[in-house]
Amino acid sequence: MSELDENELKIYDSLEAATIDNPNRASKQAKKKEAAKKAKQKMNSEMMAVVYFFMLLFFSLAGYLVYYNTQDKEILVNNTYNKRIEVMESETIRGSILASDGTTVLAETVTLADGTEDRTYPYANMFSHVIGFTYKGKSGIEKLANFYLISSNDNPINQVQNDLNGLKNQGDSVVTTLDIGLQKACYSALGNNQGSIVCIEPSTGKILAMVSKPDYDPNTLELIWDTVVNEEEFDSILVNRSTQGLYPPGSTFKVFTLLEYIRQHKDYEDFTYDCNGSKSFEGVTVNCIYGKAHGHLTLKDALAQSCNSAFATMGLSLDKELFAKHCNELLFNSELPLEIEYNPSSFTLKLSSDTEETMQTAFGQGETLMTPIHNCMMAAAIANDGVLMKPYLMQAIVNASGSTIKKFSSEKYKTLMTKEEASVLTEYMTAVITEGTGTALKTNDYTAAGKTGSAEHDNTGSHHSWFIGFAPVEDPQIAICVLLEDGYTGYHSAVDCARIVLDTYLTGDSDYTSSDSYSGIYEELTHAATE
Amino acid sequence: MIKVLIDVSRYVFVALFAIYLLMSYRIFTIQDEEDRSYRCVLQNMIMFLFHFLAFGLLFISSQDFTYIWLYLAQMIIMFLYLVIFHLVYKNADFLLLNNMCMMIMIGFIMISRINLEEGIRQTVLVFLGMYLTLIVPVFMQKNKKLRNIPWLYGVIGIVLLLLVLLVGQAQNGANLSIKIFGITFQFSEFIKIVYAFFIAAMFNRSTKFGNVVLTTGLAAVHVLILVISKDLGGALIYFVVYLVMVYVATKKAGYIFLGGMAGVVASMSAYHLFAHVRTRVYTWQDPWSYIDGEGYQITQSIFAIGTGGWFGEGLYQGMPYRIPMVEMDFMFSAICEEFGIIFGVGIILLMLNTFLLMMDVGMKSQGKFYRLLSVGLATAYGFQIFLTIGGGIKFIPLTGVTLPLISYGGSSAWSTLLLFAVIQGLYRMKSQDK
Repeated sequence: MSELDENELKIYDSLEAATIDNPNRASKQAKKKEAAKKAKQKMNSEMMAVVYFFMLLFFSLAGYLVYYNTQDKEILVNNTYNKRIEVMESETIRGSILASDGTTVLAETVTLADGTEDRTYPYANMFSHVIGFTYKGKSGIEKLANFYLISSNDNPINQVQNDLNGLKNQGDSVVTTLDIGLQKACYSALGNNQGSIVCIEPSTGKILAMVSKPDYDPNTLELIWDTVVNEEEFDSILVNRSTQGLYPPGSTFKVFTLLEYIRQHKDYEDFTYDCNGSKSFEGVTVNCIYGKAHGHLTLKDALAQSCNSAFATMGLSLDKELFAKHCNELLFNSELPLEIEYNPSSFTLKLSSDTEETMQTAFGQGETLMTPIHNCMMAAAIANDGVLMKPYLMQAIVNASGSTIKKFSSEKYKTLMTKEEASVLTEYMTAVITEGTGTALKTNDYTAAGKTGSAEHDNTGSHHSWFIGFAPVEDPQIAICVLLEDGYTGYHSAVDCARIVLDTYLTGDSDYTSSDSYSGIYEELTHAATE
Repeated sequence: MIKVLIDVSRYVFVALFAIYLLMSYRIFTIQDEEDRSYRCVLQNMIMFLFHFLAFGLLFISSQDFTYIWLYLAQMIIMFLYLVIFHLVYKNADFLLLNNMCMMIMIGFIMISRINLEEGIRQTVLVFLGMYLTLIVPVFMQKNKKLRNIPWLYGVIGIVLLLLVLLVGQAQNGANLSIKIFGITFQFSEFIKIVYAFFIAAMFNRSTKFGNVVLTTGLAAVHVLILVISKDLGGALIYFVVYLVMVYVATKKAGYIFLGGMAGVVASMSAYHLFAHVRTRVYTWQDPWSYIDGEGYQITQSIFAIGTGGWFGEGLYQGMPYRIPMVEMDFMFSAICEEFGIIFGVGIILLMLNTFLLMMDVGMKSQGKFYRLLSVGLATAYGFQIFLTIGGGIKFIPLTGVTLPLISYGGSSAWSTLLLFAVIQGLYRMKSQDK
């Protein structure tokens, strides 16, 4: 072939010479020559295809590289395995963490007279878990926002000046979504009890408040560190119960069972049940709380009165596999869209589960475990027409001179249920407040929807107290989850505690915001440490 | 004060490189030889300025005088090379030459920054290779019979690959190299050039079905040996080179489809057969779960690029040495860390420009053999870049191939230099045939 190629060319050359003698023949040859050229060009078009293919490869490389850097790589590279972070930390003054108003300081680094730096937390215990610590490891927002806090986007003139004077640059500050007034209210409402309160703005996913007790004072963490880490008795004070504490959801889970019942039974409005205080099936008996007979109930009444027997009956009528599938879609046994440390909730009902587990699970006992934040996210999704917004803690990054470097906007995470389903749940949950177990929240100032719960966690009859809900019903401003751990005092149940928080947030009644700090285990610790 | 200097330098480097790149793409469109070579000389000056500033910064940051000596040596020898090249070859693709030198200089800077000793070694090796390959373009011109010996290429390729497989020492879990007189040779790098010659010569004879089948069979033997040697990157490159060449030679897209199918089947079975292939895929999908094991390398690479940001941390300010084997497999990440992502995109565009030049030589060449040869070589060059950069930024699974002319290593550099020299030879032949 190659020989041919060359021969061909030679032929053409000689032909060109011949053209002069014989125009007729020449035109024929010219056509042939053109055809040959075309053939050649055709190979060029294959080569062009190769060129385009490789251009595509190279551009996709460049595109991916750029795309990757515009993603939240700040969180990605913020890893203990990335030693570069340590260098950055040593070269920058750690930035501040601010409340949602953008001015109230929740954490800041001050340089002392002797040149050493000290991280101070003006609100001490009030924000302990959500702000977290940066001492022998990091947690909470201190961990989440670490890369921003140690990056300086100060204006170049300041940076050059700092450099010339041998000073460190000031790291950027993080404006959080945390509402200082609300956090105060939650903190004091929780009082001396162990447990958690989480508040989310349903339409945006902003985490407005997050309190977990027992707590600690991050200012003096170094004093108690060794005790906390080494002695089992104290190790739970570092645990953020709001996101890491797993509790049986008790009757708050009835909202899930109800949703599933509505999904599997088109005629759910026709449901009625006559409660005589207990329900027996295949040798298994479940009791309503205090053995109370609720009488004739519609589906709405069953939720409002929190009737275990009715829900056990509903549970038995459900397709368990479908129930499990739907619960997984409602973020059980799965990752939560959360930026700080958390534990996933678990739901273990399956086709082979026995009658007892099925009945127990339907009203929130059984093997189900939930975190308060997960339960709060559910309330927020119901309040937001079934759409769960991604919960977030960082609103914006500002530099040392206060200019905004980066803004975080709210984003939809997932539609958990249809608008219709959400509105049925809202209607029924409103009944809980107006005529059911949640009347403690009945007020003329605002409307509310919710579900109470008490969860037995052992066989002694003691229980945790739950409340999830949102208000106002017409235009939800806040979704709340309160969990009071077993042994709580000062309240009849969690709904009373929620009342205080919602009153403060929605009516501006700040009677309860006296910030008497939590004493107990933590006081004991600091006392021991200072002695 | 040094910090200000470094801060400013980040932007200067990006700006200089941007100017260089713009000139590359401008020169690409210029036909007039005189204008072309004039602009190419300007480009050389930018390269030397870049090199000067980088080594200046390295010296200031490290206070190590070795950098000054190394700088002087590199600058002078590079300058001499350019002078000699211009004297010997009045007619050559000077833009291709410049791109080659620019990449070599960037490689010198980064390797010397990461490991000074390796930088010196690499300097010696690369210059040796550059001066030796000066002869190749002449050789190509004088030996027009190169197209007539496909069997020789085939035999050399298969025998040498087998040799490496059988006696080669296990290096990083792959039988890639062989030691001769104390020097480690990674034959698959060189053989890929012979391999391109082989396929070009085969298809030059005939693209009839029988010959295509025969060629496919022999090409498959190459690929298979590489797979057995656990040289995944090499096997992939050989495979793609073959696919592209058979497509261009036969003008039948069907072959690509068939080949693609075969490729999918082969990758699936490799995935199921070999644990090391599966590991590569896992660590690509989710390196974070394997961060203190197999995923360590790639996560460190991601940290490097991510921490660097758009303009990088500044030369000598990052920690590229945190990535294991950075000077071989992750040079691109190291460059991104210290020079920034914008610069990294620039590197990709520079290599694309080089690839386009190679294809352009092919399109203008006379005769099927030379055209196919340049397509094959350009593909080998381009696809290797895709694999190494794509692997380093977690776009595709890691395959462990080098970044041509920038990564540390003699075999990689020499084979690429040889490849460039062959293209220069092709360039001269097409312009002489005019």
